[in-house]
Amino acid sequence: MKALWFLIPLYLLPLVVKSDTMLTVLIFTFLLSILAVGFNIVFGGAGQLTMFHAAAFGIGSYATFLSMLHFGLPFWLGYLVAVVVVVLVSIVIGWICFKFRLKEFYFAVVTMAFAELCRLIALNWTSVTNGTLGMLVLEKPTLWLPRSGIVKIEQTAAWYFLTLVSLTVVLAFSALLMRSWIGRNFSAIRLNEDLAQTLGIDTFRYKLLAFTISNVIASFAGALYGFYTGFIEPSYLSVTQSLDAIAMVLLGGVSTILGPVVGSMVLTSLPHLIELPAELRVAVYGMILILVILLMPRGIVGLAAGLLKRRAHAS
Amino acid sequence: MLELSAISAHYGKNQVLRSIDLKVGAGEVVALIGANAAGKSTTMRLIAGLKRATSGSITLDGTEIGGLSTPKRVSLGIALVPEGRQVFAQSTVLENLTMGAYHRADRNHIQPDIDAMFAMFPRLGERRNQRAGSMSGGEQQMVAIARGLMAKPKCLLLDEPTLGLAPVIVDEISATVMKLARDGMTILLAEQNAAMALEVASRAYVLAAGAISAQGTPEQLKASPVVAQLYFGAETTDA
Repeated sequence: MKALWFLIPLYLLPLVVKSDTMLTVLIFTFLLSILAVGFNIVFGGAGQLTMFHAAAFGIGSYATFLSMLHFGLPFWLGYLVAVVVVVLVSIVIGWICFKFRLKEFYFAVVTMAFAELCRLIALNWTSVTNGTLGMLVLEKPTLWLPRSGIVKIEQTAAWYFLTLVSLTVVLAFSALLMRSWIGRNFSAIRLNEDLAQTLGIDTFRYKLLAFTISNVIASFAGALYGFYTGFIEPSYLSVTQSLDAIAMVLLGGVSTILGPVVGSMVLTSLPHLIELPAELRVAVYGMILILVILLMPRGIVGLAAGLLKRRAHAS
Repeated sequence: MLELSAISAHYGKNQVLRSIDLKVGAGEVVALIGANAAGKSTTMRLIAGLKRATSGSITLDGTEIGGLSTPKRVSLGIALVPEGRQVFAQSTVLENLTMGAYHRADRNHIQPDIDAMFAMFPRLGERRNQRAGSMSGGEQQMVAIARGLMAKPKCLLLDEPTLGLAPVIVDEISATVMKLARDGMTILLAEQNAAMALEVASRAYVLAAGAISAQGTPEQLKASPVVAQLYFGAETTDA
């Protein structure tokens, strides 16, 4: 839970920074951090390289909005419908992958195929999703707050705090989960699946659990994202979206609590702050990723932890 | 206690076990000896439930367990110590042992059992907080065996515990197995090192090309010309 202290300065930041641009960049950072934290549970936790998290992200935004549109639900109930959808989809896909004992590369390819399938549905089911044109989202989430009653999340500052609080909750959940016996079973599977099984761990069930939790978190990021930008389109479910989250986790530090957030900070905030053209951004992403894998396989957080440990030993 | 009857198994189209019959009585140490690729590890994996047999039955105390998942078999009392000294390398010795008690419901008896393991393997006690991956091969094997025992098994399966270890460590492992046997543990030991296996076992099966080619007490097997030729280098006397 020490990792959460890192977020405190972010709560104080709006007192100093008044620029909406800066806060907007951070809102995107928080949203993508949530996606990356979710991915880190199934990959950094249970060692399963999924490519489905972007699809879960997209399903989160589509299902939330569509159930609001058709059933007249408020945002949070709409999101609850999305959770049900994502859980069902995750169980079906996870069941297929893990029953057939798909691992590593094969698991990644099959989950990617399922993600593409979902994207194609979003793209071609025009009557429901409006296809490639996407959907405009004019509704805003509402929140009940003590003293002020029901508040519409509209202003940048309101979104800033909503996304930051969401990130804090997700991060706290992930830290607690990883430290619990469930998290220990995840690590046992990541470190040595055969051995985990001989110890009596039901590896099928725990892999399915990790996959489902991670997709639900991704769908939460997606739902908020769609309503923040006011626009939902099929590219939310794209492979590049999945790869971005993977890059964030690898750069920040896989299997660390804070890694995904640090990675998202660097890869989402930096390009905006140094105003890189979009075409160059992809190239810079690629370069950073190659350098990270070659030079610091444990990511920024892993490197920092190593340096702190060495300092502590020296003194 | 543990009985395999008419067990066959395949990897794809290759048949790797041909109608194996094998019995391990309560409190017995039974060795399964054979060369590389004879099917020893496959047999162990079948008993642990990591692989399914194509035909035949496996019973534990008279109950068929062939269709059960590995976790179920662990809770029924089968613990496999897999070959290749598998430990959670990043975790400490203590964490490895704790993981061994994963399926147990009697949480408050785990600490006394860990203490008992450290009494049995003093070197592990001294290094309880060391990362298992940083230990020597022999010590890692001790961690693996202790972790297996932490499951409180009725029947302990040891798959090639001496593979790739120095002779002095092999002696240490033999001594451990014999001590466990004296304490009444039922053990099935798969070994390529026939000399070691026949020294500790009360009965043994010889596995060759996926079938049982000989069985009996160590004395009978040592006297058998087939075994002698295969495993004790007796063929050199022909020259």
